[in-house]
Amino acid sequence: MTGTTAGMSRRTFLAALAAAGGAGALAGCGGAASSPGTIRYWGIAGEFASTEAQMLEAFAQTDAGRAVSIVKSTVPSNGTGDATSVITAVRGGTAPDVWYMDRFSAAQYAALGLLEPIDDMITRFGGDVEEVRSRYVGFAVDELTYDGQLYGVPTECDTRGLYYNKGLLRDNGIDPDELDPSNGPPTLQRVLEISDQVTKRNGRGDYTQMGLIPWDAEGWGITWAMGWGARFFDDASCSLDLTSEPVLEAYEFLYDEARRLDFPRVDAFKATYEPPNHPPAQTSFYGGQQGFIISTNTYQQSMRKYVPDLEFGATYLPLPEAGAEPYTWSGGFALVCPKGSSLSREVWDFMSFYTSAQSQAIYVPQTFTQPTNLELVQSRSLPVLQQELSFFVSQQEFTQSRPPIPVGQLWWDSMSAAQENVKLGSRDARTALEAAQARVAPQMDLYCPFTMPSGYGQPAST
Amino acid sequence: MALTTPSARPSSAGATPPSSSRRHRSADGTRRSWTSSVLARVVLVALSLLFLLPLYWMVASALKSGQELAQYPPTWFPTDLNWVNFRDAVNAMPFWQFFRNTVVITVLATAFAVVSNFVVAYGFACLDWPGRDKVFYVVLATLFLPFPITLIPMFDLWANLGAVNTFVPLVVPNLFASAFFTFLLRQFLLQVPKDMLDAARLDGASEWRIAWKLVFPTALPAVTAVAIFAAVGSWNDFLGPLIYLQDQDVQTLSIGLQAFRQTNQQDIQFNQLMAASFLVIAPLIVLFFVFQRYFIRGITLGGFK
Amino acid sequence: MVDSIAPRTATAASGAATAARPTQPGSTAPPGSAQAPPPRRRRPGGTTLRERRALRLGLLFISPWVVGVIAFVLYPLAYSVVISLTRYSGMTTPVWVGLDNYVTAFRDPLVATSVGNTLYYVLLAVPIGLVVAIVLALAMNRDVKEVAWYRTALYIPSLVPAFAMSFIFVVFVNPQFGVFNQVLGLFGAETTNLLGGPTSAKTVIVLMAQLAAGNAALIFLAGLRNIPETLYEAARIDGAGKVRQFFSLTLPLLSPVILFNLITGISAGLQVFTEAYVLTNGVGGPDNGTLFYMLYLYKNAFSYASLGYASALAVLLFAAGMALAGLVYWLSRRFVNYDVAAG
Repeated sequence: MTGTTAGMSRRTFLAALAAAGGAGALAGCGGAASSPGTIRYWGIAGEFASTEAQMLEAFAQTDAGRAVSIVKSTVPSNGTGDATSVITAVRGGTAPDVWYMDRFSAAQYAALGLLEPIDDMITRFGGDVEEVRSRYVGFAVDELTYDGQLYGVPTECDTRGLYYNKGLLRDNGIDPDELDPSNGPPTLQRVLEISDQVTKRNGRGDYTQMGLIPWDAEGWGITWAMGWGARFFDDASCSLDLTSEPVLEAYEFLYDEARRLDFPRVDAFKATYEPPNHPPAQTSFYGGQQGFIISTNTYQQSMRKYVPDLEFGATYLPLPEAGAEPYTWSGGFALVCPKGSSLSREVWDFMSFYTSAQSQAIYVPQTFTQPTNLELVQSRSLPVLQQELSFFVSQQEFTQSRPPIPVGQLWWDSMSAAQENVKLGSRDARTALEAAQARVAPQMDLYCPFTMPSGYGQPAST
Repeated sequence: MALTTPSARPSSAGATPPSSSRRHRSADGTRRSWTSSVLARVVLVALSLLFLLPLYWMVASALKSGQELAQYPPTWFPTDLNWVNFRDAVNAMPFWQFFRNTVVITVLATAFAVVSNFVVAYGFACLDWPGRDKVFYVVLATLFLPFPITLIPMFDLWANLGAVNTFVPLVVPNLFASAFFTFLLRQFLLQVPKDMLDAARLDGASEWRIAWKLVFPTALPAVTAVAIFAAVGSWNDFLGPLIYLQDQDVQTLSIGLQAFRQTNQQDIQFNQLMAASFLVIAPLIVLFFVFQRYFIRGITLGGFK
Repeated sequence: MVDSIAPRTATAASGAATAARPTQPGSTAPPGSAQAPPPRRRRPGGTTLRERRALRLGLLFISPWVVGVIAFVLYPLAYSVVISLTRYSGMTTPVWVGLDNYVTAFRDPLVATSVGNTLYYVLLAVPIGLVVAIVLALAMNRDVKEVAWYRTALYIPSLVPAFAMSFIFVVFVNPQFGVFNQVLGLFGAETTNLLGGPTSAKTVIVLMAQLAAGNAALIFLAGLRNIPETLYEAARIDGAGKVRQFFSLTLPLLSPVILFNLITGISAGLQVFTEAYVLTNGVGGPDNGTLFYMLYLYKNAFSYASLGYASALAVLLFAAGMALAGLVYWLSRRFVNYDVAAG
């Protein structure tokens, strides 16, 4: 009896296995190999996918683009700074030829061997690497430079500024014109004064209206640290210094403000009017409960969408001391080539076109990002560059990128963790930054000797 | 046949699920009084409303305009109904293609999971063999294997087999049983009376036949649970498709939902995301409503022939 | 306890109820044993043959799992153990570092933080999860006409993908109009952001997980459906009240399912990931309050490309989980009752 049972089962198992094979066949075609003239591209998802489609269309109209077929998938992403899908794809030999990526990670991914340098590709097709570098704003190229080699081309950029709600200020007896960027950067002291003037609480002591919440939105610890003049990396000793005086002062400022404003109350205020994972439209700045917010130029794109009637202005980030140099920083995206990219002429033609003035002229007005192509930056030949984006583009003269180091993500996470510490008051500024230093420095040591791209952090020569 | 025990109810082995209002009895068999029935319903309705709140919020948000989403305090009822969000949500991705892909993966994965896990659980519960319980401990242990470390070696494996951008990595593993489902079914199959199995063996039935004709029907509630979990898990799986399905023509709805998250900005098209999420889970809600009927009383045995 | 009620079933219940009970031991065996095939023989010499056959049959049935465990567990596990002894980014050549990664793990303050967070979660989420799931299962088990609607309503949150749920859930925790805060406000609590404190944020994630208690509830529902109605009839005739029925009949007979939900609950709790990942955008804030072990492991693997370190963390988690599962499994022998017939 056992015999028959076994036989029967065995047959059924074999049938099941055959079914599995069938399923495999059914699942059908796959494989990553690009046929000549085809580019596999991981591109933009979301609202601007249609904008990108217009750029791809424009490329198809060019001589170079006519013969190229671009197979676009949206970037499979788990969220920011998560390279799971790319790491696996590169290992499996199924990575795309071109990948639209947050530039901030470029140095790290280059150090890991996830990206191909593109210098050879450029020269192979008759280009000149220096000429290519000089097409774009310097701070964006810095972010794509690792160990002297170029790892991609920058597609767009941003700068941070201080937005203010004109109506809210006026209602509280402040003339918003005072903050007009033509008056130069405001001091931190003055912004905090205005801030206190507009702050309101209800009978239970809850905030119902606030001015500047220093750590809110793009008010990162590192944003303020740049205001105090921080340099995070020292070429000479190949070491990160996260506890230097400027960083320390900036984090002490955040610590003190969090105590002065009573952090849990501020947090309850934010969570009420702008809860975590809120719909993007529901923010306390849009809602008129918050007078100031530090954000990037693209903030205007969503304001136009959700609160077209809001009367706002934007100016320089507040200076810790009167007379100090204005500061801000920039991020953005890039087209890069993952390991295994065909690095073909078509790939280079595509990358080159995508970042051209012609193509960015399509992208910039719809997204309220800033161009990285110097031709466009210098000519300001788009209405949006002379109006809405005018102030933010003018900041390109003194902006810098975050340090393009091979442990960028860890640095960012550690600095953010230190910021959480001082915000909640679980650690003072020094202890928090020492913890960050202890976490990042040993990892950085593994990549030494290493130097920053030459000219990093120095004002653009545009 | 001796082992055919007369059942207290007419239904045979769950082929036709009995209606729940068979008699005026509650689940524990006491006669319902009018008050307790009303009270029970009040509690049930309240509990249900609480659990329906997320769905309500999803639909309400899906119908709002972008500007209404910006209002504070948020409105509980959309002031005007923007059905267009649903259309935009469907148009934001190749919805029907993603839908088809998701259905194919889910159906195959669920069928494979039910069959393989039932067979394996039968081996761990209804068959006596030396070392069985020690081996079963290994099954339990595998529940604790952290998924992140399996991602890379598994991807390497499937990539070497050329299975990237096919459904194979998402479907075929279901043929080989999983610790969770095997454990679940085993807990139920262990409750099947030994004597019943022995009697069937005495009658000369093969194990395969006993498993499917006698035991499977009695385990129907547990099998239904496995099928529901497998289907929902497969339908909503995100990480698997994220890694294995890179080309648009093979991608699934859970990947499609990411279309509302901007690649390059913090912004999310919230109302469309909610509309799409609703469309994604609606088939699951209907399926669940249909299949929950199979949570019948399983142990009272029907005929075996 | 079960036995104290069940035997009386046979004597007290009606003839139909007796007949409904599964076959009595010995009632069918004697006539059958005459024609029994070899496996039934108990001659000393035949034992090994019989055992060998039983073993072969058993292995045949579990063979799909054997293949699976080799391909999907042992292979990645072996891979991880090897990688855990190296420094490896996933791309470049691994560098042998011996046990360094394990030493680092024991010194890493964030490992300590994440272990603390995870244990907090497990200790809270597992018992709460069991209770909520049993309550839901009892609700799903009510014998009312429209029960299908209740079952569906209670299960719907389990159908919503975590990514979408993370955006919906905020409606529950908003300081001003959120459901939780309104309840807390009744007790005079100050307006606070529950997601803003490291401890309260963990608690919120525990509560968020309860929205998906429908999954465990379905298993309990299946368990409840497995209990013969005749036992309740007998208990009632014995004069046992509803509360007594629940504790001396329902709970013991649910014990196999409780064991299942306990072990899988511990497993899921130790590996809690998705809720924190989507709710905090992968950060694990505030102040690392929701940096669970699995989240930290994942970030090391895929954000910092420290695959070697992540593998060491994984091996440690696996070992701890295995030990814990073994302990629970061993303890369970005392309280789990698989004998529904309770004859």
